[in-house]
Amino acid sequence: MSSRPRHPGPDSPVRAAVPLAAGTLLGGAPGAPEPLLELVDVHKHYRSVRALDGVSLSIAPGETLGMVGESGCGKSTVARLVVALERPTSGRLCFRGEPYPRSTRALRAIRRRVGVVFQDPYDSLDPRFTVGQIVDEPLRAHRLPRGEERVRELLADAGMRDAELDSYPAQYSGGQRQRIGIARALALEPELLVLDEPTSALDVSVQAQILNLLLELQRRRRIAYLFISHDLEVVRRMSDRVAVIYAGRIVELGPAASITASPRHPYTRALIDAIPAPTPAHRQVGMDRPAEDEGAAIRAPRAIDTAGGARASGMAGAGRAARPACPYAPRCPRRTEICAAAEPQLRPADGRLVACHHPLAGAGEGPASQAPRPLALS
Amino acid sequence: MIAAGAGTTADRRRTQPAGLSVSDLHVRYGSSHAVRGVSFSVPAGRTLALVGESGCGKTSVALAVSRLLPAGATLEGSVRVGGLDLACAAGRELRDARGRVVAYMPQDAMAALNPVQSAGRQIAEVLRHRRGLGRRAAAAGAVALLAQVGIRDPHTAARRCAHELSGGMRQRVMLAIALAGDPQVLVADEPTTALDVTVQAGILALVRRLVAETHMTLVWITHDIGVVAEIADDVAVMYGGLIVEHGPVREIFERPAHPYTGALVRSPRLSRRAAAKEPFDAIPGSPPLGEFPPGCPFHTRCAHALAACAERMPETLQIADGHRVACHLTGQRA
Repeated sequence: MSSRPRHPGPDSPVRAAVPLAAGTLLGGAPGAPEPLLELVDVHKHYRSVRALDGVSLSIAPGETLGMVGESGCGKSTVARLVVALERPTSGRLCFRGEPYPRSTRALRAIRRRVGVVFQDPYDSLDPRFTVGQIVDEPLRAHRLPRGEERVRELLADAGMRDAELDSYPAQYSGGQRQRIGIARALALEPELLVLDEPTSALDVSVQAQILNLLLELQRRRRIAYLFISHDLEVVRRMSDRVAVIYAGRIVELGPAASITASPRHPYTRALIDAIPAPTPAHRQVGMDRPAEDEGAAIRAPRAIDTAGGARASGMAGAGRAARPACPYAPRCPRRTEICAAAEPQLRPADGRLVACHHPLAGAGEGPASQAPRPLALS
Repeated sequence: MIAAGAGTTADRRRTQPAGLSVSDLHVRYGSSHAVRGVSFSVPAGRTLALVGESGCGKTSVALAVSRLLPAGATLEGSVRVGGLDLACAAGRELRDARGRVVAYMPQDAMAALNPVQSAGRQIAEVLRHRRGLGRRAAAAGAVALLAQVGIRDPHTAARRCAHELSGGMRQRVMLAIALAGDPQVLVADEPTTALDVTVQAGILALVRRLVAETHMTLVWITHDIGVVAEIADDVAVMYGGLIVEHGPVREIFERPAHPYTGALVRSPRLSRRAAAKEPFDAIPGSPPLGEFPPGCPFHTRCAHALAACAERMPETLQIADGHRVACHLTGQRA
């Protein structure tokens, strides 16, 4: 911490107070008194790399929280902590109000209630196990009622009614393998399912089937989802609320529709602008406009590549003194002196939380508010 | 001769731009018939997006056009650039054509770059062997090319090896290597698939600018229909080793005629208007792998399939200017 004297440590009361306030503001769906999952000021450091740098969020029962950001931003670290594959460096994770237990043995109870579906169905299914064994394994590990009928039922729930139990994953296409992975995740009847890029390895014409299956399972079983993706458009369609994460911090968190329709954080705006146009009539950068055009700073190759982006290489430098208080400042077209001097806290604005000294104007505000307005720090 | 830091690609071009014309292309790997008679042409300076899913044959087309098919694969048909038929080229003629007539840009830059050679050296190698530049001129040319592909500090980047560069930077280096041969046709095989959206947007803008400056003919292979709207002038949709629809980009997006193209343009990534948690437009099944079904390869997944679809391959019909489709439904309506 000595390298960043301006930054209050994780134990500082100032820092702890903000995430708690944030939690009560947008802690979940209205009328849900107790969140299913809660993260409070969670840090995860790997040596000098701050993979997560103070993340607070919560998920209500039956809700989908979408999480978007670029590779290396910490999305998958959140997933690994939530499914208890790793422990945070500091901060707290709670399931139904109970902190995650310390002992590995006791963590089994968490793993029973929090399932996971991985990105790559080619990597995440053991090629030497039969389909039956793959789906049965969690039942066996947790000493739950087993049997062929149960396994068939789970496969049927995942849309694999005709699967042979003694076939192997290699006999199936990517989409079918992902269904097997979903059947395995359903075996323990989890209350929360972590979906880490569940369709990004699949063919385009297959993605919609898997997304529809996930929507249907949620409707029928009221499972809450932590839906992680780099594809903001898919996240919008799948989620109730969205958390935008950059360099290990949440920069914007709020209702999916309003965040995607009128983002307040410049990084969220940049993510939206980078989505390829839905039709050729909406091409975003004209042929004749040079890519280095300052007006399109975020799309300019220089702005992105030389700044190191949100990736781990940028993060590695992050732990050192040169890191600005706002991690997005080097790429941000709206940055001013304050962005390098003071860390922006997540603050309520326009029905959401935004961590930015110069947030973009909301839909209802006049053009005057579009200019950067440095905020006085109290 | 390249002056360091000056000279755009347009200034350096010595050859006239030429289009690409592929006709009745077949690619076989042993008994597997991966590309089953594909024809298309791309006029000079235009961009064709070749869209399709895994196993549809799009990478085989890319490798065939670049004459980079692995040993054991057989190639039939013609691949014409200017007066040259690449499909028949051999020996010295083929060697000279590689990189000069057609350059290939792969998806995985990390695997394609030599891990122990600097980026500058790998670009300079092309300039020396393909353009006959001397050692010093080639080194300076490499730096100029790195600047041209939007790298801000090209001198530093030229000294870096692949693992010292970010994913976007590596793909820019690959582009610089491709441009170093001053090719007439560039075949880019999913070059942005592994990149983050923000980095991808930068590369797309860059490639569009370079195509406009150099009048290069570009074939952009992708499975991501979203990228197509950004980059293509024309689109060819592949399924089961065939081109099922081909037309100007606006026609394809606004009036898709083949049911598979329709499914692609309604895919989750492009569903801007749909409300949250509303079901996605889905088609059943998965793309065929290895063996293609008889008749129209899409009939097993098609909601509109007729009896004829399972029996014989549909003919390719012209339905508008430059818009062709191979579907029995279109034939029936006509």
